Amino acid sequence: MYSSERKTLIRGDILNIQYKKGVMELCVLSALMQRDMYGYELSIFISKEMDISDGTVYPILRKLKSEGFVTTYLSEDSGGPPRKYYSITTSGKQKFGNESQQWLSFTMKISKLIKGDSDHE
Amino acid sequence: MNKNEFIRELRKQLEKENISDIDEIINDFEEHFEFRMEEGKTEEEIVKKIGNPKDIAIDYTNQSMKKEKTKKSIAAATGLVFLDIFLSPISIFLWASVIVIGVLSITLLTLGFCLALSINIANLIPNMPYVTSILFGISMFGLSISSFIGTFYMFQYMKQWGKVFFRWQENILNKFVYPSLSMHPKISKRISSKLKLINMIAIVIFIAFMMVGFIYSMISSGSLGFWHAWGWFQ
Repeated sequence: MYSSERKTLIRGDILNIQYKKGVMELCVLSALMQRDMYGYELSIFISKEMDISDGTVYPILRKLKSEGFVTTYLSEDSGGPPRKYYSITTSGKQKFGNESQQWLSFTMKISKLIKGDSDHE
Repeated sequence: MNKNEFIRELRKQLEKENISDIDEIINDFEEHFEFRMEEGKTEEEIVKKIGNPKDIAIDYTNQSMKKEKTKKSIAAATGLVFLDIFLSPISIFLWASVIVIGVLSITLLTLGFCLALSINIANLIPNMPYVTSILFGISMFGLSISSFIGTFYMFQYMKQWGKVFFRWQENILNKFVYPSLSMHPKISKRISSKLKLINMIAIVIFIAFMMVGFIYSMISSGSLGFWHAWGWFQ
């Protein structure tokens, strides 16, 4: 059905999505390091930077919650209906510390590698 | 696809993947729609950006959520029912107290009126000079205002404690963690400081007029126990 060009394009997209999902947890934690946010805010915050479906953030939030890295609370302060806010826990902060460090050193190595490769060509 | 179609499809996919707490997940997405629509997006636009229901459902599968929770909450619910049965007489008693204090306030107010205007209903008020009657009447006004304020606070506290207790039970039964509520009712600072001032003035009026009333009565009757002189309690 698809031309071969289109097939690779789709596969590239899927790969891209997998990359993004892999670091989404880190992005969510990083956002919550700044302040508590409700789910929608986080979804907007991340999809603005990462060009990923809006719905992707919700499963990740639930996973982080079930693993105890974030907690939720309802806040009625804003007057309207209560909003479910997410807040990072101590273990979440630890996780963020470790993983952001790993991520930074990893990307540094990769970019060095990529640049090194292109230098040889 | 519009919102309802998306939600229905998502629910179907989640059920297919045997995910627990589907309602909570659906709630998150419904909230998402609400926020987006407030921004002026149409349902179709939102659905386009939100992603494929099947993919979303699959994202939820690689998480282990304990399903024992339901068993635990049945035990908790049973415990809470017994606690409720035990606590309800106490609650009824406290609410009854609020009503009693409220009725007392109304009675005091009526008494104040009767005294100040020298209206003697069914001969309940003993015989006394007009000035004494007015002084005691004003004093009763003060007491009734203070009592009304007391009723108001008691009512607010009872309401708040009811809410606190309800929220506490809800938190035990639900997986959602709601913030626990303060034991103190929310009364705006402006109102509460005004009420405090009024209460203070009312109490001062009550004490002052009571004292003046007593002194006047003693002088005018020429007796420390003026109630004997006027033939009360006989």
